[in-house]
Amino acid sequence: MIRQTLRMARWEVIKLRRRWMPWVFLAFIVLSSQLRLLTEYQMYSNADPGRIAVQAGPANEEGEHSTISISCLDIRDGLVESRLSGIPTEFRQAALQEVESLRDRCPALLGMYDFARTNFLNNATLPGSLSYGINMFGTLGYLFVMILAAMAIGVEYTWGTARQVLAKGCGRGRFLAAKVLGLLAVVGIGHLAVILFMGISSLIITYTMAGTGISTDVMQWLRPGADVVKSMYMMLPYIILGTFFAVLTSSASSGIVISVVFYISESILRWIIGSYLGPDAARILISVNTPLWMASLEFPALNNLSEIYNYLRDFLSTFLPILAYIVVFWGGSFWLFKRRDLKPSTGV
Amino acid sequence: MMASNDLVIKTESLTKRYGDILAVNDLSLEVPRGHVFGLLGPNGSGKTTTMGMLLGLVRPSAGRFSLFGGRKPHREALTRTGAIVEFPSFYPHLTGRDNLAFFQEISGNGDSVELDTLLEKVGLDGRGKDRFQTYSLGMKQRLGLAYVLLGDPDLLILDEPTNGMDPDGMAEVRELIRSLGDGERTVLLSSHLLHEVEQVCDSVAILSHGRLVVQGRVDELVRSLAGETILLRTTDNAKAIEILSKLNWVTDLNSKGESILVSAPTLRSSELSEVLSRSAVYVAEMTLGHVSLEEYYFKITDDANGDTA
Repeated sequence: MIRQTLRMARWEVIKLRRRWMPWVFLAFIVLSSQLRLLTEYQMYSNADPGRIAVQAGPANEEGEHSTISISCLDIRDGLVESRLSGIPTEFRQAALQEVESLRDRCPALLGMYDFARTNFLNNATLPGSLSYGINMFGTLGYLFVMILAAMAIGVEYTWGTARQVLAKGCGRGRFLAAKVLGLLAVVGIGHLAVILFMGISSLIITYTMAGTGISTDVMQWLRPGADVVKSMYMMLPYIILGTFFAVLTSSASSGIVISVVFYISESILRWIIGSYLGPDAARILISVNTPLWMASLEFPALNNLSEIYNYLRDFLSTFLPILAYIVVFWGGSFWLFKRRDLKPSTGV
Repeated sequence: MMASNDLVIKTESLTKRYGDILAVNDLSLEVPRGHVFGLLGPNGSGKTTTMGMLLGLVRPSAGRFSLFGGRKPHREALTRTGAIVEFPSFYPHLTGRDNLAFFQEISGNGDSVELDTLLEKVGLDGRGKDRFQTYSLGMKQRLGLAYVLLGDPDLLILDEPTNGMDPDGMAEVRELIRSLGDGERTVLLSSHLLHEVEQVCDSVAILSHGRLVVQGRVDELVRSLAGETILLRTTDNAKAIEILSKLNWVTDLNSKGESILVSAPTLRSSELSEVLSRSAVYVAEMTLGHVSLEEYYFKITDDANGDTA
């Protein structure tokens, strides 16, 4: 039974691989993650470390002064003296006064600059970049996965192939389970593709930028692995929701439309419920739970019971609602699929 | 009655209701092992619904059925069955061969040699690597036949298998079905083409409005009606019909081309001649009991419709 389900799941991957929709979604996610990386770089390179230009000498024939650039970084690193060492004394005093006036603003400026740099380095170098890439599956990834699931199940009705598969004696439960497993495998492959591209980009960044490196901390390298598992768990309710909508409507197009409507409605409801009934009430919505689930939870110290308790409470407060969605909608899909007659193909 | 071991399909009071409509009504069928069994009936008579129920695609509203004597679970029985209901459905973006490979892997037996053999058998050996969406209607039907033969099943359920084929293809497929029915394999075939069924099937069941009208061997059924029909050609057919309609032992009269089809005991055929000659109408030609399955079908379904009307 398990072997047959796995064989069918393998074929689900083959079938999806030969359709354009998964490739478009994957290309979108990969490009988005790369663009986000580029945006992070732009933000870092545009971050202002309080750069000023001080006059370094007399004006030339065109009336232009030669200048030296001094930033808060020079001040923090104690490089001001050496930077100003070559300039004439009459200009040096004025330059030092300008540096002094900059020094007052430096803590705030460097705070923002350091934040942008840390952010960039955490997200752009290995292994932090991998988790950053995996997080790209959030937001639009949910919608894509729902659409993909609705499409994969719905076309079986549209093409009439579900009838033919079941007439071969595969069993309705196995058919549905193989679909979900196959979709999970495709989503897993998508994660690997994003990780691969992020890894390549990070290596290029590490190679070309000074002050970057690859962490050798094992715990840091375990984090992307844990994030993949968490992300896959987060995707499961969306796969099952897409499945449910396709089974409910016995159609690919209707399943996809309802998935999109569901996604938009949740976003609106999230805002309405959150505003009128409070954020806790909005926890009934899956889209509220999934970002919380993906948010990093630091492992507690094992000798601190209250920390362990808080960790488990936070963990279960997102794990259980997602599990509830999986169980309820999987049960609904299975029940509907099991008891309904399979009508003939509605067209190729 | 046959021993249940010899029955590959058995239904008992099988019923399917869609709201107020009875698609299949109290159907009790027996399909013996090794037979090519035809399921006949007009559109909406319940043939496809019956096949759907046998394959577990449609849930019966009442009654029960068994495949292969019901000794094994239904799902296992289906692994010994090759079936196409309504129309062969495949994944349009996969090649013909990949489609077959997929279904082969589901059933868990067979190898790539079997795929090549089957593609060759149905005349698709040169097109196996083309996508299903590029196939013509006839090629789709051929791939459907290759699909039902995957794993060398003991039971074939075929719904209109020659639909969309050209005359050569139809003749080939008829021959193929006939050969498949040789030996122990059982074929349940539905078709609108009555001459096709007559050529291919050993036994038939005729359905009308979801009910079983009659079931039996084709030759026996046809003979039963032929025993009561006489084909006459006379010097004045119109006058002959007028005279014969007054005889109370003549149950039906129909013009058939230049002849008259008389429903009457064949033992009294000489009396027909005598009665007509008394009115100066002379018999030019008389043929006893020659009825095709088509004629039988129309007679039986007309009677059944008359009963239900």
